[in-house]
Amino acid sequence: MRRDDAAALPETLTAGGITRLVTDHLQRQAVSIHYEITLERLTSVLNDWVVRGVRQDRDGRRSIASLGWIEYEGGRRLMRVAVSIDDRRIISAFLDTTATEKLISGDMEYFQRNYERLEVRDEPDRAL
Amino acid sequence: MNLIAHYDPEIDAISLHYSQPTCGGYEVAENWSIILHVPEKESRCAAGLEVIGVSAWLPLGKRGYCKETDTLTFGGNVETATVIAENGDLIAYWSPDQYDPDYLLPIAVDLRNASKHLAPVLEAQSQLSNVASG
Repeated sequence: MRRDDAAALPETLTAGGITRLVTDHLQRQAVSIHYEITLERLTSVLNDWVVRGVRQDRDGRRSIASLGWIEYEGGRRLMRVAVSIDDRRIISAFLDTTATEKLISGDMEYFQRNYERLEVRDEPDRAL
Repeated sequence: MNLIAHYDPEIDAISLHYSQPTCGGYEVAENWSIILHVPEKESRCAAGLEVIGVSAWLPLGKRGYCKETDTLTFGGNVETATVIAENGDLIAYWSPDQYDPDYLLPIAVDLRNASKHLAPVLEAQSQLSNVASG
């Protein structure tokens, strides 16, 4: 996607019946460099996620991660959207290369190792 | 190439990136809060870095910082890296996935000239500290 196509994200986003704040960090990412982050894609991932679970980093910081397929440069990639653990703020989003490759290869153990309260929806043949 | 920094105090997140486009990313050392962005598929170079909760590394010297080289390391032990990719002030370290040795995962990212690039964070924290004490 080109810079010309970048559109500002709104301050709130409603998906799955929940309205969440969009952080300044994510809003800035969408217009400054990560033009792949769009309102439509964020909404799509939060509505039609195929993998979801709770992530915890080495410092104990937790988030709810939703992964959903998006169309990108002629193929399908998993976009990961991180939401605060209180489910109120959308923190970050990016095209998750590892998750895409692990899901395509059928390595579900990767997700079982890294995601708590893992939920997986059947999405056959939606990969590349 | 200049590294562009932006700090969001609301979630204590810093974004550091070059002006080049990116093509996806990887989490670093299995931390969802540290994301390395690459310029193109199969590339191991870091075109950008996002850190949520960057204060865990500050003030400089608290964690992962080498004062002599002004380099801050986000992630794990770089000595186990089998691939090292430099791109200006960002150096990405990769190591085979212990569960899938054919698959490389980023284990750490070095930020050179850390005191310069993290200035927006240090400044924001200083202002917050002044407000709190004033």
